Amino acid sequence: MRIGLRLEEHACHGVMLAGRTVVAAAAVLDAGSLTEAAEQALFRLGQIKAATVSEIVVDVGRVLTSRRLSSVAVIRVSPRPPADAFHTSRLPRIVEGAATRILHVRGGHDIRARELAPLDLASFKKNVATVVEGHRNVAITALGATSTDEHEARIADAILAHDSSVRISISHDFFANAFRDRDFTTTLNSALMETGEFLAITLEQLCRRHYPGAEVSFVKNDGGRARIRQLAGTPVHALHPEPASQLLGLALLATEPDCEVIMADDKAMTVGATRGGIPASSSLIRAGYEASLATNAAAVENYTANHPIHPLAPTVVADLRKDRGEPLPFGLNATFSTHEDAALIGCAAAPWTAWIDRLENVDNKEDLQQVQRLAEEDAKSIVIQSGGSPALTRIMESNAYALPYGNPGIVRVRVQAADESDHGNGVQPPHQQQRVAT
Amino acid sequence: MTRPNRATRLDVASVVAHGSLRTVTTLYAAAAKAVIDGVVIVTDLETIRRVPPNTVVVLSAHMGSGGWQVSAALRHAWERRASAVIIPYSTYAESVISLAERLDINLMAAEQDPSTVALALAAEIGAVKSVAEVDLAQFARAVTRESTVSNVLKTISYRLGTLRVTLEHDGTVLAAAGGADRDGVPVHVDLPAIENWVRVKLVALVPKIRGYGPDEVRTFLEVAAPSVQAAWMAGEINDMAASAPTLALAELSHAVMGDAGTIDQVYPNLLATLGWHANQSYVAVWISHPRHQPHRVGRTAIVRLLWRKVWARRPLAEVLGGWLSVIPVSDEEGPGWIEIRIREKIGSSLAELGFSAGTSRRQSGIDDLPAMVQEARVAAEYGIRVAPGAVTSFGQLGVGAVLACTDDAAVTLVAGLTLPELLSAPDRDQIIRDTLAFLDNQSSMTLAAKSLKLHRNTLQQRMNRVRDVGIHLDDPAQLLPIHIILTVLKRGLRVPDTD
Amino acid sequence: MRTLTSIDVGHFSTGANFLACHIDPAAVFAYEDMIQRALPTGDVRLLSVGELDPEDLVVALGFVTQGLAIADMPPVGDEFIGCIREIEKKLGRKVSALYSLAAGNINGILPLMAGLQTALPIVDSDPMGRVLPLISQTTLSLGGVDISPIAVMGVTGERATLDVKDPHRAETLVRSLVIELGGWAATAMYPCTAKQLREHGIHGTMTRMIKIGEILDAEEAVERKYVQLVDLLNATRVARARVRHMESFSRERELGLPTQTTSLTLVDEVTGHIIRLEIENEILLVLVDGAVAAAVPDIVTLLSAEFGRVVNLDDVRVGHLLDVVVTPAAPIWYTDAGLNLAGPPAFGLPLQHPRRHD
Repeated sequence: MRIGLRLEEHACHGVMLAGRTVVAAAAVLDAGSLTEAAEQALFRLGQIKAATVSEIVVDVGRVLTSRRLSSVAVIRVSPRPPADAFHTSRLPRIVEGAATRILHVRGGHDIRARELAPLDLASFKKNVATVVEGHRNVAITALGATSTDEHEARIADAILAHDSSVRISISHDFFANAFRDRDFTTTLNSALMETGEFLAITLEQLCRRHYPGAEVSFVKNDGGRARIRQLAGTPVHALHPEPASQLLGLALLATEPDCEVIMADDKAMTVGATRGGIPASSSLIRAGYEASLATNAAAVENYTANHPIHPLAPTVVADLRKDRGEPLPFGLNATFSTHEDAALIGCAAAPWTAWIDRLENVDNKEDLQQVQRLAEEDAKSIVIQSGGSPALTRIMESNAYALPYGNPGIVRVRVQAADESDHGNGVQPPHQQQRVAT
Repeated sequence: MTRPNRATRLDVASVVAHGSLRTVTTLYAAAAKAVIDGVVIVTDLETIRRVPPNTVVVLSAHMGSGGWQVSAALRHAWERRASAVIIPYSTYAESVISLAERLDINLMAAEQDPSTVALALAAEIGAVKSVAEVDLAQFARAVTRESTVSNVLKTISYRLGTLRVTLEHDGTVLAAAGGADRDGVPVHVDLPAIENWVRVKLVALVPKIRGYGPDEVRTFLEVAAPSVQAAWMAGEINDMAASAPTLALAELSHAVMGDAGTIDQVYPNLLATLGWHANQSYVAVWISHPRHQPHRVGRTAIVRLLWRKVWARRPLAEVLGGWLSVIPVSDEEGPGWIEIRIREKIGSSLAELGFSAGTSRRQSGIDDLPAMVQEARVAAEYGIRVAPGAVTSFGQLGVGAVLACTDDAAVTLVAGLTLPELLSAPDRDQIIRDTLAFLDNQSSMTLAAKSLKLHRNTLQQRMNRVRDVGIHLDDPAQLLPIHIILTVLKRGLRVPDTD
Repeated sequence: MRTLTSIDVGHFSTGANFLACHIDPAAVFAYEDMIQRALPTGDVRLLSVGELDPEDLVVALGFVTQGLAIADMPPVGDEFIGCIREIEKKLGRKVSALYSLAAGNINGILPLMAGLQTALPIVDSDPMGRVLPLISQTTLSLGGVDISPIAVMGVTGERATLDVKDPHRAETLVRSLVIELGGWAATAMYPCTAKQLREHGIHGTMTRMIKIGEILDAEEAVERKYVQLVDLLNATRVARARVRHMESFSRERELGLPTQTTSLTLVDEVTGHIIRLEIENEILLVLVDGAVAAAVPDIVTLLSAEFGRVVNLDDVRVGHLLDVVVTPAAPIWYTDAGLNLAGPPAFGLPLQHPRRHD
């Protein structure tokens, strides 16, 4: 059995799931602290069958969003500093205040990982004390970091040599073509690391105390989960998991693993899609003209009157409103309605997922196929290392993109792998269900 | 273009069922019965606009490479009321089949070369009238008659006005024919793919100013490609047969450091088969490939094609870890000429492939065959580690060969080859300990003596023995190799030490 | 003369994206943001070429890219000023106005920023009338106007001035510099008189971008937007179709050209038409049931059928419903000389342009 928790600063909602069935639920409101809320929720759920709980998946998105961001020293690496204020990379408002120090260091690579300017490590080392003074978090974004992490890693090493307790986030860990998107993501990630670290430690201890045999993980923005320890390093991937969890939960409840889901709640109508029970994702969370967040997240959009109907895939119109007196807007008929907390169920059912998103050099179709195969193997192996089943880990998405006006032969390879074994959606062929039962 | 000369007309369904198109895969079969009046190989879209009705349109391999061209070709063919379109097997996508279905036109995929399919169909139709087709057919017959790769290439080159034609693998020229003019537009055609076999290209350099256009040349190459492949594979079978005795020799060298007598016992007549004589000198040549390189069936064929440039008549055997040949040498040839010859003929090709060659020391007679083989192998392995593409002679390496060794067994092997006197010396263990102590103490006789608990003079005397067994401590280049060898040999002594 | 407002700049950016033929708009948006912030510090003046003295010196500004995109390697900000100064030094006279190397995408919008930085006016003309990948593919080059001197400056601060007669050679040389400069370089080229630009340029192309933006940004039904676009641009909607298949490397390509090839297959669910798009940086070819419906230099834009918004290739997924809109390029591109320079064969597509008549 699996537990899903949605944690808040003073509250915690939890469900216990057996397959698709909710066997227990708990809601703790107005607790004295986050720890207390989580502890109470775990305790209440555990009154039934604590020993049979094998997985605990936690949604920490609301905690990460509500807590104050830690201050970050932002280091940008490029051949020359901006000439004026207009050409200075601007951080989105939500993180602008957290970036309390911004420093330029000479360096950077091109897309072929060739050095554009030698890294000015000597001056950096001289000033490292002043750079990190008063900062426990540092974000480093270098030009060309999609092709190599060399300069970012060398700066990180220099900082750690000075003070090994500083938390460092480098932009090589996030895939986005635009410098400002990586700069934003790295900075935000860095600003969340302190909270991520706290949550990782707290949750692991709490869960171990109540459910010693259970695996603890957190749900990611793509609706999949990852080991709780990774929350300390890349908390940004845990920031907005709810839309994905909701999609996943609804697809599970509606027993439609491949479908378009139109969701009508009291506030809005949104639409997303699932494939193999997992939300269809995009690699960026866009925010209009501001920088985008480089994290794989469920693609959920507002539903409009012009929304095209896909004749081949089934559509689930989920009525999630509290009051169903009025008909749905746009003349839609609900195919499915529930008052269950679909996002929480989706969280409990989250499968292990992993992404590979990187640039590769290819000369021809054969090369392309090979790098794609390698990426698929890498993605699978990450899932399996997390705890996924070797037999039931599948490639959910595998694409190679040409880069317009890019160097000939450089392609972006993007792959998602997921463990399908713990998908309690009951639509798998019988031979795959065995592991679910054990 | 071809026209029928018989009253009954062929139709697509029957030709596919039991005629010349029975080898093609039908991707979409049109609802209506389609008759065949002619067949044409097309290399560009414009040609399709001019085909008469009821023609089978065969797309050249190069044209099939652009998916959109297949779509456009289907459309043109449909507009011209063609009977069918045949495309290369690898290029079709689902969207192309959907389009054929939408236009209701026969669509087939050929696994063989498109020109082969077209020629077979033309023959079935009964007449080969168009001048261009006759020309191609004659050319096809001419290349089929040739039995060696170089002769096929020569035939192609001659037919196309002596332009340069090469057979290449990954940029390495395996065989060439025709003009020395290196300027021009390269036209590539892949040899038909065989599972696990390396990918090889037929390349012609089309001069920019005169003669044939690239598309025409491509068509000729496509027609000739199967013959090149056939000739190559036939040659490969012969080479394999010829290398069998050398192969046996290599197997022996792995087993024992035996002498000719032993070999004769195990493989009677082997030496005679190899044409070896007691009074002739020999050098073994070993070609190594990097260890991590995955094995591909055709790799040996490539190395053999290259080897022919060096010694066409000396068989090259595929052995574990590389290839082996044994070359007779006469005393008139100066030292190093074998290495020079290999370097000149195929040095750059070896480098491109990441291979290295090694040669043994020259041996008179046939007593030390296995040692020769080992020497060549060690030298080649040295090349792989130190400089891929190099041709390394064991003679020049001497004890230095250990610098590329990765395990004790390899070091021991080099020791056996370079310091035979030491290994057979009755006081071997003592020499090893003395010399090691000397080296461990930075060549200080006093400190070494102290560590061995000997008097300095005693050690001084004993060290004279060292020189006798072939160890030269006055050569700075030898110090490190010797140190390594002795350290490894000493490890072998440890067992009696603890007893 | 017209002084652009903040709203104009917003529309300008949308229009530049529409004419970009699917290229990632991140850089256009980043530039728009930059221009909006800088707008209070000065004026962006747009004037028609006739308003200049015929002998005034004008120069084309444009990014030449290959490698890291502009959004991935933001400009320091002094690159274009450096290029303009270099041209002035070389020719010994002052530049009177700037014009865009290509009226679309990033090169459409960037002269606005350079105008703010230098206080120079922007000419409502350009030498492409759309985006073309090579600096030699211009109507100025067709008209025999010299491409050089060319000033080049990269993000590293390194710069070069090239004197080269043949525009094709210029393309090769600039391209190789750009690769070593990291992926893009700011360039100033085709310095000429206002008279030359009037005779050989394409006019009204800056204003056109603003008008496109006005239509697409309006709060109106998608169909209404299309009616207005067709009216403004003489455009046609070739199909409304759903993406069925995507592939990379669908064609062999020559190394050295700034390129990646991709193709898209869509199916019109009403008529059953199979639409195939061939893409190499921009959309080069539209086949409907195998017949050529549009080919470069026609401008092909993908719009989302749902919102009437420009869709970029990065966002296209199997299952999306798209409108394929074709806008004819300037008439000069359909002459023999124009098609030879920028028609399908120039992009490695061996076919005749449907608008070519022989």
